[in-house]
Amino acid sequence: MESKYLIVGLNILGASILLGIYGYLVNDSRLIGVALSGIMAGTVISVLGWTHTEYAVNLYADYYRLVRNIVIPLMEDLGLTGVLPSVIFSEGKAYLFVSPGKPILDKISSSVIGIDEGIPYIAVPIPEDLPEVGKATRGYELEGVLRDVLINTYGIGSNVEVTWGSDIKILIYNVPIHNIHLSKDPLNPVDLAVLITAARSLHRSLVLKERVIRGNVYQAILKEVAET
Amino acid sequence: MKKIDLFALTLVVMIFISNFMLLYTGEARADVYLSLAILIYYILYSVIPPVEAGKHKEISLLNGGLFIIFLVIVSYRVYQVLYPG
Repeated sequence: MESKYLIVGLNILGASILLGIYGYLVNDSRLIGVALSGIMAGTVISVLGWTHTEYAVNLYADYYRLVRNIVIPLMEDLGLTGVLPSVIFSEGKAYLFVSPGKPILDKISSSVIGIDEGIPYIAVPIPEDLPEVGKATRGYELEGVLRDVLINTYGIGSNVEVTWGSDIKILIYNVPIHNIHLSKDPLNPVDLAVLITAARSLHRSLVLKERVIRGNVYQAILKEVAET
Repeated sequence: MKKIDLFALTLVVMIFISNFMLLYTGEARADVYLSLAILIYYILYSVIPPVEAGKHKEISLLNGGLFIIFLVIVSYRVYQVLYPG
């Protein structure tokens, strides 16, 4: 329930009913018409406020704080804390891949955590039941997809901007404080959401080359992973 | 801006504009105001869906209810044209 809409809707509804009664008493059909449309708008906004639920951001933020106590020591033990993640497509499947070495396409499907020739890696299959994302081939298309997923669905920030070139620069504006805090962790949800959404939309293997947080602006630079 | 914010703001602004225009033209039929408001709601709902389709029973009921009201208004007007007086 979103109380602000419920309150606004009920206020419009109440004022419109009063206007309608007044219109009926003075026998003015135009006032009754305005009141009827107001009653409709008030009802719609009240129902929207009643049914709309905010995404469970706080629940997942707390859950993440718990999970990071497992993920961070694990990455520290593997020596992967400073390594930014990538998304690799192998045999039609997408994998989240974290390793200082080059992706080993033929091995990542066999184990989640491993060491190949002394180089540790984590290769997690990206679930196929994630919500569909639109396909993009150009910067403005990707910007639209990212806006839809990152802003409208995940509520990460207020706007997104994509600069398309040899690297893909993604800026997210007005990222809430708790998201910014989470963004400083290795393998954090904001990095993963940006990277996975972009890679799935473009259907390309991408690596998070750089991630900078200035004030409440999040900036990620993605680069295509060369085939090995 | 979130979709629900955009939807609610656009709905109120557009209904305000349509009411203003109808008042300006001196429209005296109350049902015209309501039917235009319902039409604006449906257009906006298809362009900026504030919730996922079919996810909320209450919204589906509201949509059904408004459609029936719209249908009744239009049927009444058509009846009046066919059988005047």
